[in-house]
Formats: sequence, C-alpha cells, structure tokens
Amino acid sequence: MNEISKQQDPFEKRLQRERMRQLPADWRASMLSAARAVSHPAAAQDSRRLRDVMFDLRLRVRDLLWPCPQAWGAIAAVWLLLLFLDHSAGAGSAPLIEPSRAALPAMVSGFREQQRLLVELTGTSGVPERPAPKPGPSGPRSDRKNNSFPV
Amino acid sequence: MPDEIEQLYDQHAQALFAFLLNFTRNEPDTRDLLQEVLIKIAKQPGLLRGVRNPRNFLLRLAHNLALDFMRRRSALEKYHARLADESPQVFATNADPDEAQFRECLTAALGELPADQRAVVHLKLWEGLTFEEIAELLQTSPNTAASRYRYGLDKLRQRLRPLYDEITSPTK
Repeated sequence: MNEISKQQDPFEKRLQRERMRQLPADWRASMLSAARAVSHPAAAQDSRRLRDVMFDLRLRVRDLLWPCPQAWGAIAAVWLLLLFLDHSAGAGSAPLIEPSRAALPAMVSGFREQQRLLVELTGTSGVPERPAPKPGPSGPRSDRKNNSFPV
Repeated sequence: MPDEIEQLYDQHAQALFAFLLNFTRNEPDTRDLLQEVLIKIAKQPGLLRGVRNPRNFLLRLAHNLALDFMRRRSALEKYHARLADESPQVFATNADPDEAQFRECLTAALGELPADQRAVVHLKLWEGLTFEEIAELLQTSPNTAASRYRYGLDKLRQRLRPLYDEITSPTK
C-alpha cells in the first residue's frame, strides 16, 4: 500500500500537476453570512443552561414524588381545591363587608342630623315622651283579685 | 465562532470545493453541499473540538453529505445517468491547447469512474493523502482504498493513454 504511494509513475505525476479550478470568489460572502446567521453561540448556551436546569428540577421532583406519586398527586389536588374554595369565598364576601364598613359613619351622622332637625322643628328633645306608667295596684298579687272583681 | 468559520473557509473551502466538484460533477450541487458543511459546523462548533486534522474531518463530512445528497437525487431523477452527460470545469483553465485538451479529457475520464473510485483518486492525487487517511475519511479499509485507487488509475491511464503519449512524446 505504502509502496504504491511511493512508487509513482510518470502518469500519476502528470495528473498530480493538474491544478484544480479555483473556488468562485463571490461565494465567500454569501456562504459566510449564511453560516453566521445560524450560529448564535450565546443563545445556544442559554438554552442549554435552561435545559440543564429544567432537567435537574425534573429529577428532583421525580425523586421527591417517586415513593408514592398518586398520594402526592391527591394531596396536591386537595390543596388546589382548598385554595380555589378559599379564594372564591373571599371574593364573594368582600364586597358585602367593605361597603357596610364604609357606610357606617355616614349613616350615623345622617341620623344625628335628622334628630337635630326634629328637635329644632318640634322644640322637644326629639325623643317621644313615654306616657307615665299607670299606677299599678299595690299590694300582693293575691290581693288584687279581690280588689278588681268584687264579689 | 464567526471568526472561526471565516478562518475555516479560508483554509479549507478550496479543497472542499475541488473535492465536491469532482465528486458531484455539478457546480450548483457543489455550492449547496459546501454551504451545508459550513452551516453544520456553525450550528455545532463542538464538532471540530479535539479533531487532529480539520481538513480530513471536513472532507469526510463533505463526502458523507454528498453521498446522502446523491442518494436522494438518485432516487428522484436517476442522478448518475445525468452525471454522465455533464462535464463541469473541474480543473483550472490553461492557455496551451494541448494542455487544455488533456484537462478536458481528464475531466471526462474522471466523470466515467464510479464515485467511490473518483473520490479515492482525487484524495490521493490532489489532496496527497495516504491510503490510511483515505480509508478513515471514506470509512473503509486501507486495502479497499488502495484497490479502488489502482482500478481508477488504470481506467484513467487507458482512457488518456493516446493523448498522454502524444503530449509527452520526445518530438513534442
């Protein structure tokens, strides 16, 4: 084999002397720009790093859940349900509480204003006077029957 | 990486071009394949890491891409049959008419060789590789590479003998 390469005949030498055609010069710019367009080493590195991180995370999660994935899944589902219920309940009650708290001082002041007007108009204290309680029968209850219904 | 690609192009594109043109016998295909080699390296810069001989590595890459390409083309439109009719300008032009005629005949004779013999002849004669290197590049054994070279060279000799004798005769 090496002998073949060493023992070159004149015909081989003659062929070897032939010069190959030159590469067209105008290919260089277009080829290099096409090659540059596909090479984004920074982006490639970032995506590779992200892929590594995601792979590591997936392994950790798998190790954590591996002993009983169904149980962990069920617990996660319950937690999600509880969170949803808590959120929906909070969202429903909030509008009821907030306006009542905000309206309370206004209602009190409105009431006081009405009371003041009433006092000015009537000249009274505004609070209707209670009728004086009738003097009740005095003495023990057992004696009342005799007083009310004379025989 | 862009600078490395530029450097790579300046150092090896000429050899890749000559090999691919001789192998495919078609200039637009050669251009596509050369572009494909560059894009492959640009996409995967790590391919060349630790490679002892980048030229041989790139030639091997180009050869593999060209084989895939020719298989696809062969299935589609009988590529090999079309190759026989094509006679691209593989060699540099020469003002001497005898030399020009010899180059023309050599181009035609190379086109008549099977692609695997043509690849070995090209790598041996115009890239100066050893049979071990050629075997590694073409993923074959050194003995197969050597026999392909011998068969290819014999065919060229047979085809070019009259013209060669005429050119090299003492009267000339």
